[in-house]
Amino acid sequence: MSFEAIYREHAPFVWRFVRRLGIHPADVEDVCQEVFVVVHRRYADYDPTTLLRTWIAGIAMRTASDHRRRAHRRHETVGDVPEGAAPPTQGEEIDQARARLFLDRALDELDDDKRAVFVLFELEQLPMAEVAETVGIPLQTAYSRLAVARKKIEEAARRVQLALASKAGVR
Amino acid sequence: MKPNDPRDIHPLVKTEGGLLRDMLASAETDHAREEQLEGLHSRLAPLFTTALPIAAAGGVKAATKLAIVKAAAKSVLSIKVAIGVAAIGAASGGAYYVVAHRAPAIAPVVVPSAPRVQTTAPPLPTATTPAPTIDDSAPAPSAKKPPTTKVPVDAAAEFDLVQRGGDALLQRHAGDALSLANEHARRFPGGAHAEDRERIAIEALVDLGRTDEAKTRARRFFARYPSSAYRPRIESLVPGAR
Repeated sequence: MSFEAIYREHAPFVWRFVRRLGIHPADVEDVCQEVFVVVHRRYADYDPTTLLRTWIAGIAMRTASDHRRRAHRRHETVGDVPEGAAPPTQGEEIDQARARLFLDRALDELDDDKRAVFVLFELEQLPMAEVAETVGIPLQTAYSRLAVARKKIEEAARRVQLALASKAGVR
Repeated sequence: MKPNDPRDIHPLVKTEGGLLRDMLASAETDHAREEQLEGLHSRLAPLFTTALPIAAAGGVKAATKLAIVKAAAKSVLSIKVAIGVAAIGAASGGAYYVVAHRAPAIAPVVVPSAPRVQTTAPPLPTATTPAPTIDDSAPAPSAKKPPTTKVPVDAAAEFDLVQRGGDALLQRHAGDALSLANEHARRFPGGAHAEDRERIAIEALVDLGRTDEAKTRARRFFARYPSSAYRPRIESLVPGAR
């Protein structure tokens, strides 16, 4: 398989994955480039008894993590409603962009491993066995991290909901 | 995509106002646009003319191990194709429903029933072009190998079956997914990934419209794995099975 074929096959996944690992949309392309450069450079280390996707995802996790540390992004608390954001009225669905912002903030509350487990299992819908292998943790640990991650995401969503309701109440 | 397709109704943590549902569904916007992927492709172009490094000692060892896996398990590992993405969620103790957005297949699907060819062996060098000019300062992955690289041959073959089944499901090839799940059930009835296999089989049966069978299998699943992480998803796909 040529490197270009590897790119064609895995780039859409890598793009989504690094975005969901907390990379700012403006930086996703740079991080994806880093990922594939490492894939190319380290290909001799790839163990073909594992899925190539698993190996690439591991590289993406580490690259995204390093990027986030370098980026020193300003941390915002989940529940802070963007300035000028109108609270949704009853029955009104919040717009997709705001929902995505809230999701980012909720995911930001998870540490790297829990975030990766949540993203791979819930959003990428990979079997937990593959999730565990990608993150490099035992299967049962992956399940327990998923449970914690779900709880935290739920809590974050509830806090946002309360913040939105509170804002609506003072208007 | 069919409207009201049961496969599109996925479990999700449902909070007041469905905010979490909206949040997870918004992940649908994370897909790369075609022009973005082409832009990235252009940036990586210098690498496409540079040969992939040949496997070093470790890689050769791994390739040997793969040959053993192939021979013993009569199962060939495969590269999986593009992944459908669904916004899915679940949590313990709540109501879960969400519209999931399964992405259309981006690359052709490898038909699981066809003989599979291992395509990941490092190719021979095909070019001797100069080193790429793009930044090569990205962090190197750790040398840590995933735990499953040291598992016995049967375990590798079992894992492979489950992964192929899961991918077939994502590609909405329910018949293939069910066949792979049933093959797993025959070869590894009490295998380490039996829970994954049953989940794949149930979702495949739902996809195929075999509701009664899905319900029966889901009931057995709930009895055997009462606190499964897949439970909310299955409950939403097979109403009345719990």
